[in-house]
Amino acid sequence: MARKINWLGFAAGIVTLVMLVVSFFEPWWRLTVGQNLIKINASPIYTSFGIFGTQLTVPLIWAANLVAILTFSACGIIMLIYSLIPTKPYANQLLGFSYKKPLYAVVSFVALLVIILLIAGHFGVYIPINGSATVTLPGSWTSGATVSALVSAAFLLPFWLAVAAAALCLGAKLFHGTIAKPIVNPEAATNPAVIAATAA
Amino acid sequence: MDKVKIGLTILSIAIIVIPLAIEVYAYKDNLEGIVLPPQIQSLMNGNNSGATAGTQSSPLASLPNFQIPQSAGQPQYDPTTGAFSYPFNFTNPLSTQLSFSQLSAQVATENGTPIGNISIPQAISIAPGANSIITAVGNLDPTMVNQLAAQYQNGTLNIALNNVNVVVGGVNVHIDHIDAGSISSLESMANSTGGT
Repeated sequence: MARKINWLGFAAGIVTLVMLVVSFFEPWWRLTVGQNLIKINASPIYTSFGIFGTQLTVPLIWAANLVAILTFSACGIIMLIYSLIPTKPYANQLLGFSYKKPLYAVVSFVALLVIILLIAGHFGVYIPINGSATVTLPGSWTSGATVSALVSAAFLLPFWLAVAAAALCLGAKLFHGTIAKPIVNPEAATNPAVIAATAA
Repeated sequence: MDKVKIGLTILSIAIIVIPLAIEVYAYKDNLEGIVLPPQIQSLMNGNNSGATAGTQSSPLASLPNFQIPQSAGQPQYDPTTGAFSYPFNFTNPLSTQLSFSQLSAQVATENGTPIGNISIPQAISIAPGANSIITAVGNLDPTMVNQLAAQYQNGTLNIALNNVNVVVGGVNVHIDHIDAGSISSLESMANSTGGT
C-alpha cells in the first residue's frame, strides 16, 4: 500500500521554514519616514528601529523574536514530521501543536500593528498601515513648528509567506480528516463493538 | 501518545520561558534596560556632549555628533544689486546621508519689516559624518539696509526670520517666526563692496 502523505502539511512545513529564513533578511512590515530618517522593521522574527541611521533593538522585543524563531522552527519541523506520518496514532498531537501557530502569529501581528497605529492616531499621528501618506506631527510636539514628512508603510514578502503558511496549515488540518480516516473492514463495520471502539 | 503530548507541552513552555529567562538574567542588574536600552534612554534624555547649552531640548541635539552650524566666512553683500550670501559649515551628525532640498526664509527686522529673502540655490547632500559648507544666498533690499544701517548706527539690529521652510531628509519643517539674533555690523555690511 502506498504511503500516505499529507501534502498540504508538507507544503505548510516547507513554507513555514522558508518564511523563517526569509524573515532574517526582510521584515514583515516596514515603515519609512522621509528619506530613511526613521525606519522601523517589524516582524515576529526580527524587529529593529533605525532612527537617524542608528539601529536600535529593544532587548525584550529581541527575546520575543527569539521565542518566535524557536516557535516557527519547531512548528515547521513538526509539521513536516506529521505530514510524512499522518496516520500514526500521535499524528493528531503533532498537527495540533503546529497548525495553529502561523495563523496566531499572523493574526496577532496584524492586530498589534493596528492597535499601535490606532494609539498613534489617538495622539494625532495618523500612520498608514499599508501605502504612503504625508504625516504632520502635532504642534504641541514641535514647539509650534509645522513638521510633516512622507511616511511609507508596506507588508513585505515574509508576511505574505506567513499568510500562505497559515492558510496551508489550515488546509492541512482540514485534509487530515480525509487522510487519517480509519480504514474500516466491511465485516467489522457491522460489528457494534468495533463501531463503538472507532467512535471512541 | 501521552508522551508525545507531554513532550510537546514541555517544548512549548521551554520555547517561551528559556529566552525570556536568559534576557532577564542578562539584565538582572538593570531590569529597566530590557525595555529601554541605553541608546534610547540617551535619545530620550537628550544627553549630548557635542551640543552647546541651550540646544538640549532639540531632537537633533540629542545626537552624539551634533554641532551647531558654524560660520564659514563673513557675510557678503553687494549694495548695488542687493545680493547677499552667507556661508556656514554644517556637519552631518547622522549615520545616514542627509539632503537639504530646500531652505528658505524671509529676513525681517524685529518689528516685522521685511528686508529680503534668503535660500539655498540648490539641493545639498551630505554624507554621514561629513562636513559641508552651505551657502545661503538672497536679496536684501538696499534701501532698507541703508535705512536700517543709519537707524541703528550706534546700536545693534535684531533680525528675525519669517516663513522659514526647510526640507531635510524628506521631512518638511515650517516655522512661522525665528528670532535669528543680532547684527552689530550692519553699517559695515551696508558699506561693503564685496560681491557674492
